[in-house]
Amino acid sequence: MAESLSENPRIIELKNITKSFGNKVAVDDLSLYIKRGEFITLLGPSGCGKTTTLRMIAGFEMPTSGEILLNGSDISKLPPNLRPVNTVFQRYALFPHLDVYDNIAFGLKLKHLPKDDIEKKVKHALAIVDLEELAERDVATLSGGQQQRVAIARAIVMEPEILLLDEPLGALDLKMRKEMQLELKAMHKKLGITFLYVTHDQEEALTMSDTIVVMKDGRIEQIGTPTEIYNYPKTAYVADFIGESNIYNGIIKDHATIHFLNHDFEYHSKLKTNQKVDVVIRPEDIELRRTSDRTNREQNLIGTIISKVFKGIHFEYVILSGEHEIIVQNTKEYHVDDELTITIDEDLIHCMEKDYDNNIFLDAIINKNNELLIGSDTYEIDITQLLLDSKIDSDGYLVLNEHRFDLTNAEVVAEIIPSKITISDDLSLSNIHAKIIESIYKGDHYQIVARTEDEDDYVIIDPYPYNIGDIVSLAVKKEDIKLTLKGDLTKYEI
Amino acid sequence: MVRKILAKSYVFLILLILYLPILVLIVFSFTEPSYAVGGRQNTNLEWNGFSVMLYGQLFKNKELMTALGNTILIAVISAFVATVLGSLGAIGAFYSSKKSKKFIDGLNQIPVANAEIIMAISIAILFTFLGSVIFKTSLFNFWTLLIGHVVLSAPFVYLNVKPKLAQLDPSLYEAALDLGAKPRQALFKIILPEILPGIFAGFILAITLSLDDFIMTAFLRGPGLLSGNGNIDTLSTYVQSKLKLSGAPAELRALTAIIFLIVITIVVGIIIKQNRSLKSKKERRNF
Amino acid sequence: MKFRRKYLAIPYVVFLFLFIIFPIFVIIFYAFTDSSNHFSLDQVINFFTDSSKIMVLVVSVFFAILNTAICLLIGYPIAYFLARKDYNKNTVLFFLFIMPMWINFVLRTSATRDLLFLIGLDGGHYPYLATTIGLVYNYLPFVILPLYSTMIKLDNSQMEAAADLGCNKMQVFFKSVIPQTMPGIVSAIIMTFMPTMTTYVISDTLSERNIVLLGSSIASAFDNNNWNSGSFLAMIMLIIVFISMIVTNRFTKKSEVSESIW
Repeated sequence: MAESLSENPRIIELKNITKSFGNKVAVDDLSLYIKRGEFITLLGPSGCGKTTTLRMIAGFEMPTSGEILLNGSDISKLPPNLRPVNTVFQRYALFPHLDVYDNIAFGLKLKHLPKDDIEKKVKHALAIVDLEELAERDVATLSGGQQQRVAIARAIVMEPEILLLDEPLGALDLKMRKEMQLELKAMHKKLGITFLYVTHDQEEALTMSDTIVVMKDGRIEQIGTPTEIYNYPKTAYVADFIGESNIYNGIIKDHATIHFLNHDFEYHSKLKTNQKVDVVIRPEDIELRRTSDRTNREQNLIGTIISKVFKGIHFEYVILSGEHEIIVQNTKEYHVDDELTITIDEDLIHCMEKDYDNNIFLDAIINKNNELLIGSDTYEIDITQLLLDSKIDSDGYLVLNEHRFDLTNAEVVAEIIPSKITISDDLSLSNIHAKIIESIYKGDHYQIVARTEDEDDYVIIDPYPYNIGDIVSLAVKKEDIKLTLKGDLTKYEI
Repeated sequence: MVRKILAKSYVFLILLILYLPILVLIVFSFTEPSYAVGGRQNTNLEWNGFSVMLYGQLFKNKELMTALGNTILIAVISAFVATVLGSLGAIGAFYSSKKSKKFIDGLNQIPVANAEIIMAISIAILFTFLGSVIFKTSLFNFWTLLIGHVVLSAPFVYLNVKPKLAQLDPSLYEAALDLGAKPRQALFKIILPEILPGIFAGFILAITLSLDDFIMTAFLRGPGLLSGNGNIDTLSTYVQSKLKLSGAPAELRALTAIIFLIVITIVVGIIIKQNRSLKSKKERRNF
Repeated sequence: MKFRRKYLAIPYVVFLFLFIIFPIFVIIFYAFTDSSNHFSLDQVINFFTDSSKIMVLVVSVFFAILNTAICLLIGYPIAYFLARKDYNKNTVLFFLFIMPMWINFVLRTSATRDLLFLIGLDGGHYPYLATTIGLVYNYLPFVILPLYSTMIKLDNSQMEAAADLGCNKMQVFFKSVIPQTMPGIVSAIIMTFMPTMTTYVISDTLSERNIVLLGSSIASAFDNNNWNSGSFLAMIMLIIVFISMIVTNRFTKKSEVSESIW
């Protein structure tokens, strides 16, 4: 993979780019290169640094440190008007006082091209976006989709080396969006220029891109083709963000067996015995069979359907097995309360070594008191970190300017650095109690793993050892819990 | 239905009372004033038969014509200066850091909330002080008057332009840069045309404020404009000085009638234009 | 120097500092000095021991309150009728009400004086009545304008909801209409209260100089070259301005006030 990439000349190269706003780091030591002619997508939730990265390439933001190379020469100090890069903006940013033709001709006129050339180029651009008849129209009279096309025409008429697209389909309705996705892809093929696309919509990214860059907290989490990212996510974060997935804690029992969902599955790997892993199973990869009297209840994984939703081409079931929920997509119809045997093909089990450097909880939820729920444990948290400069009003809503957000039941990823957890034998210090399952001496400290009743594991760094099996209390200050919202904040706006 | 009629009659009653002085004055603009012994005009309203004599007299009254000319000149000049200063201020403030934006907004709010007389007097003292202590000559002339009128109107230009900037898509400026415009070009080719309605509204408001002003003029005028070596009189100060002495000269009735006619013409024009644009908007929507 | 958009504000900020901020400090300086520019509390003592000066303040506040109240009482229903679609469908009537604003106010005051003379209510005999009438004449359009602009945005569904929840017409008015139009009421008060005290042409002309308001006494102090006493009076006004700014800020957001006026 890496070799095939390096054969192509790199049109853009970001070298150790960092961008901070005040003391908030938006992009953190990011390095990335873009091949000439590819369709590359920066994907991640809001606040992951993807738009900031695009804006630094466009020239609207200057990196705090690092270099941006275009065809090998540093452009990071160049103002946007001197960069051979053009942008399609989120809300189009068409000039309202100019008609369609003049909007598209704007950049060419600044270049003082002869009139005939301008006309030829604008006509060509209009033809590419399929808007020939609308040249004389006032932009305010166009539909969202048409405005979008004008914005694209206005950018491509400049013949940029790279076209930057900042969530350009966000303002369109679903049907229009699907249509434009295909059209953009076709346009990319026809024009042959490099497209850098920014989105939080994983489906959009999978549909259009040659390469996807998944970002998190200003860093790159994984780079790969859509299939690589989908089938072989490197981390639980990527797996969770791309497509729907079931993620479970698993343990490698031996070279041919893995244990998760309280069940042993056949799984051949070189991972060492007792290695803890994150197991990812895509909902469409799970097979279902009706249980019968002949079914061996010891050897098979059995669950009961607790919910069923018809999704058009398939049904989506939530199946309860023991205390675990399993999401399954299947074309066959079953009914709620049906008891089913669940099988998963060995090839479709994807394991990732558990990252024990950090405590990351993918299934955390904010409750109505703005507390964090991890399993059944509640933590006090500061939800204003989800939105810069926001406050909490008297009703408990997150507010910024005129916008109010109700984060009740919002799904978040919570992160707690091991050294920020206070561990104690005194159980009255907090109501979160856990059993020590691991305590390893790491030279100058002990790395302790404590497991709560809900089977959530916490990694703690502490100067003192604890005995395996002891029950301890865990406490975390609210400012030490870092939250990342799953999906976009706007869907919580009220 | 009854409520509607009651409401309508209330509205029309107040309207009638509101316009009564002007209407009465217009009626009495078509008569001749009587003269007391010694040639002094009797300024009280009395009917001495129909005549358009006052309209002729109006244009012969040099003092009044000078004041009228001054009023218009100072209104146009001060509105122009206030519009440039206030619009640039609003644009600059809008694109400053949050902190300095808030600061300039607050600064701008002071003259808006402040009483005109305080501003007029404080500027007057400042110039009197500078004139007597430093320059040893009176500094009051057209320029001090201009400053006064700009102080009066520039903050309102600022308030008219600011919301227009806030309504702009912040990406417009970036889009212009992105397409190769220099910052200055982006500002003049993209931002300025977009906020032009706000700037224009500010200009009109500035003219209105200046035309109506009395206090700033009374405290800050000096010799200049059409008044030559005499103190600049505007309509306000001219009428006020006459009222102070004996009463408004009868020709003012003719002037009031003419101004009333002009204002009505402008308002009718505005209403017709509004209805037209409303109609064309509707047609567009249907289309 | 590289062009930056924020630099465009510099001339205006300098202008405001030179001719708004700095002069205010000059006034404060003169309020606390004597004719030889030495620190002095003479003006403070003067003011609080001279009952006629206190009277001027009292009368000014009285007229300001009276005028504001009358204008609101007359103007509020008018603005309501003009803005409600079920009473009035076009803007012509509204324009008729604010049109006097575009006729020079001294000229209008002169017309009012002429009329009052004609019907025998002249300021020589009825100074309080004549002044009140003149003030209301002048400020009514300034009250109707901001009220109208907030009422045109009245949320019908909120009023219907109030009625739906069992409010009678009176209750709908007091619990839904009044609170919704509060920004308009506040800006109407701003536009009348302070100017009433200071726009002395109206009171001087219509009361035949029988009533002296704060503006008038400040002006005459300066006409008589008594800067210190004039400055002190101006400073008192400044304090009132300041208090009213704080009070109005508490009632509405600043932006609402400044935008709904025009």
